[in-house]
Order: sequence, then structure tokens, then C-alpha cells
Amino acid sequence: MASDLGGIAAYLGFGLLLPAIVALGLVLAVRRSPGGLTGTAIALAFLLSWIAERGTLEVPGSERWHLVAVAVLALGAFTPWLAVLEHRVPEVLAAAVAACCIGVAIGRWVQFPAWTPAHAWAMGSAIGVVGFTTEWCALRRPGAAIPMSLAACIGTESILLAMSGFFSLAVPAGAMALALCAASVVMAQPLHSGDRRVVADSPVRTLAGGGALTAVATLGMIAFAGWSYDYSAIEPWMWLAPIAAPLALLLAESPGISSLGDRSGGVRFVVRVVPVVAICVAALYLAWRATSADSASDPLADLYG
Amino acid sequence: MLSIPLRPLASLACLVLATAFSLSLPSAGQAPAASETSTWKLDPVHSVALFRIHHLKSGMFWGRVNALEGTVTYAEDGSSAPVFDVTASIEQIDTGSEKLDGNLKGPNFFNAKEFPTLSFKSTGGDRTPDGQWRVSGDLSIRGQTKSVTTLVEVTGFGGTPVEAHAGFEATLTIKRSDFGMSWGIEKPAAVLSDDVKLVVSLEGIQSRGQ
Repeated sequence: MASDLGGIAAYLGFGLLLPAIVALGLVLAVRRSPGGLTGTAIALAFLLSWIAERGTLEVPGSERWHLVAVAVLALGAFTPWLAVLEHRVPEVLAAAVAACCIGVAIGRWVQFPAWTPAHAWAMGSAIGVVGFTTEWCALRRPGAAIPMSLAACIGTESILLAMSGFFSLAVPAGAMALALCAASVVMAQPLHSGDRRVVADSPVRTLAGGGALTAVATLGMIAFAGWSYDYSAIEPWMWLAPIAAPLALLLAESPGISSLGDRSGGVRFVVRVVPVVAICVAALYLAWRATSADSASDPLADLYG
Repeated sequence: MLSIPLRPLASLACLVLATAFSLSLPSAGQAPAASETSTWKLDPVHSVALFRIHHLKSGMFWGRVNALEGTVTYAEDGSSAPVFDVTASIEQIDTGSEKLDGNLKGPNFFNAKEFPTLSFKSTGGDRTPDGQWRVSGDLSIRGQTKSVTTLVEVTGFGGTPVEAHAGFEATLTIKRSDFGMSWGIEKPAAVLSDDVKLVVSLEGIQSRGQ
């Protein structure tokens, strides 16, 4: 029993906590650098956890879902360059082009079993549209709301993956969600430079510059992978709801909310985060109800099953 | 005028014909008279693979893969080793728990979406001192093929008036990590053993006309 508990502790430590701590360290280290490096940090959290879980990073991989890690590796390498690009050309244009390119590339190269071109289009379009929306929101409003929202979405997918028995992908997804939580804690803090408070919308406090795109692209891939490999009672819309949930961030960009002053930051945070989290909680609750229908008579069907 | 009773004669004729016809058929349990190799098509209903795995270092958990398909070629006089060509659909995994079946079909184990079948093709064999067969062959799981050796017992010959049946039982132990199925061996630790014992029971059929 003691060795089992030791195994669980090692599993959680190496699979989840260590990558999150490393990611937190990276986020802290890059506070004074362009915010896009957060994208690299969360990609690294995913990849470290992948390696901890599987013992290796398969490039290109012998199974199609291994392409998720390859794509995250590429995104982690790409995202600092997007931050650079956003300083050279209009930010929104850079974000739109990047979201479009990432959506097309992932739709073209990351495909799961028994897929038709419609599936690839759906995943590529979802990543492109949601990625651009989230990046645009992050450009407009720095702070913790967007990393927190994306952490909720990716965390939801991680739990759904675990519920469906796809643990090998659930653990890296969980690590990325924890890394985003760490990033949101850092981004919630006002920045100081000596005694002088740095402006609240400093670019180091935002997930823009590639971080949001990296998170959304990973979210899209794990959502579609979970759906494609699923044998459980989780409905397709439950898999796909968390990838659509970040669109609810647009509610906070409505004229009434977006014109609120700095003193209403808490209200704006709630308006941004709560709808996204509500969608995730609804998907999780209904998935739990669907999959727990026979759990009472099925003691084997748990993590250790 | 001599009167012959026709009815008893007709009954006698019928009896003689029926006896002759029944003698011309092999009886149930009688094997076809064939000393040369013949091919038996597997009966999916009576051909099954059982697997046994150590769960949480405690109980031995059994599951099965139903409806095996393929052929066995074998000389009934035992002059040569049986030749197996067996395929199983991963969709036929049956543990008694729908949820656990789903886990096993998923990417952490068999990844049925990408590798929908497993197969065994024998490559040779020889007799053991106790009259069984030691059969070598290629086992393919998850797209990875490994050479394995299995102990095969020819369990008997029988059948019905219209079909002959032959039975075989193979036993072997494999390491699932050899086939890329490593979840639960070390990460997380000792959830499921690496060693998996397989007991494969095959029943082949051929029509009596063959």
C-alpha cells in the first residue's frame, strides 16, 4: 500500500507538479521580456509532462495522436517569433495571419483516425477563429482573465480525457492547464520597477504575442483527439464545448463592459471568466453524469482499471 | 392366386435403405478420413482468446477477445505441426465492463482506432516430449510484430453429420511493452503487469464433403 502511495506521489510529482513548477519559474523569469515567451513556457510544461508520462518524445511518432506533441513543440518554438512580429507590424494583423497559418497547418498535418477532410477543416477553423479571438482579447486587455479562462478550458479537456481513459494525453494537458494557472497568478500582479508602478497594460502581463495562440491550438488538438479516440459515453459536443468556450470572452468586449474604468477591473474579470468557466463546468457535469451511469457496478473502471 | 402383402415389404425396403444411407454417413464424433493436411476454418463462436494480467499486484484479471477468425492447417495424423493464421478484431474485447472495454480499446492500450486487429501467423513448430506442439510465429499487436513461441495442444476431433470440427488450445505469455503498450507498468507504477498470459482456444470447421 505504501509503495502504491509512493507511486501515486511520484506520478503526480513528475507528471503534473514538476512541469508546472518549471513553467512557473519560466513565467517569472520572462516577466520583463515580451509576453509571448509565456507560450514557450506553457508548451514546455506540456512537453516535459509528456516526456515524464511516456518516457520519450516521439518525433514524428508512430501513432497519429503523437502529432499533438510535435505540434506543441513547433508552437513553443514559433511563439516568441510571433511576439517579435507583433512589434513590427500591426498587432491585430500579425495575430490574424498567425492564427490563420496555425489553423491551416494543424488542420493539414494533425489528423486523427477515420477523419474526413471535414474533420480537418473543422479543427483548423476552430483553432484559427478561437485563436484569433483570444489573441485579440489578450491584446486589448492584459491581466489574469485570459490565462485563467484558457486554464479552465484545457483543464476541462484534461479531466474529460482522464474520464475517457486517455491518460497519456490527460497528464500533459493537465500540466499545461497548471502552467496557465501559474501564468495567471503572475499576470494578476501589478508590475513595479523600483518604486514606480509600471502601467497596468504592460505587454509582459498579457498572453498575447503567441501565448494565447499556443494554448488555443493545443486546446483544439486535444479536444479533437479526445473525441476521435473516445469509446466512452462522452458526447461529441462535450468534447468540443471547451474549444468554443473562449469565444465567450467577447462578452466582455461589448461596449457596456469594455468602457468600464480601471476601478471595475474585478467586474470585467468576472464577466470574462465566468461564462467560459460555466461552459466548461456544464460540459464536465454532463460528461460525468453520462460516464458514471454504470460506475456503481463497475469498480474496475477507474484510473487503475 | 397368391396374395403378397405389399405393406410389410415396403416397410422392410425403407428400413434397408435407411440403414444403408446412415452407414454411408460418418457418425458424430467421427473424424474425416484424411491423413494429409487439411485446412480448418475457424468457428468464430467457439474460438476465443483469454488474457490474464496482474492487476495492482493483487488479483489476476481475466478478459477475452471473442470471435477469432482465420484458419488452421493440420494433418490429423500429426505428421506436421499445425499452421495458424488467426486474426482478432479489437472491437471484440470483452471484460464484462463496457467502460473497461473502452479503456482497453483506447490509445493507452490497443488503440483500436488506428490498429483495429491483432493477428498471429505461425512460421513453424515441433513436437514436445509430451505430445504437444511448440509453434513459433509472428504476433502483431498495435502494428508491431514480434516473434513468439506458443505451446499448442490438439484438443480433439469431432463434429456433426455434416461438419467435422477440430480443436486446438495455445498458451503463451507475452510482454505487452514489446508491443508499445506500456501504460501502467512503470508510469503509473505497477497498475498492471507487463506480463500477459494468453490462452487461445480455437475450433476449426470443415464440411464433410471436403
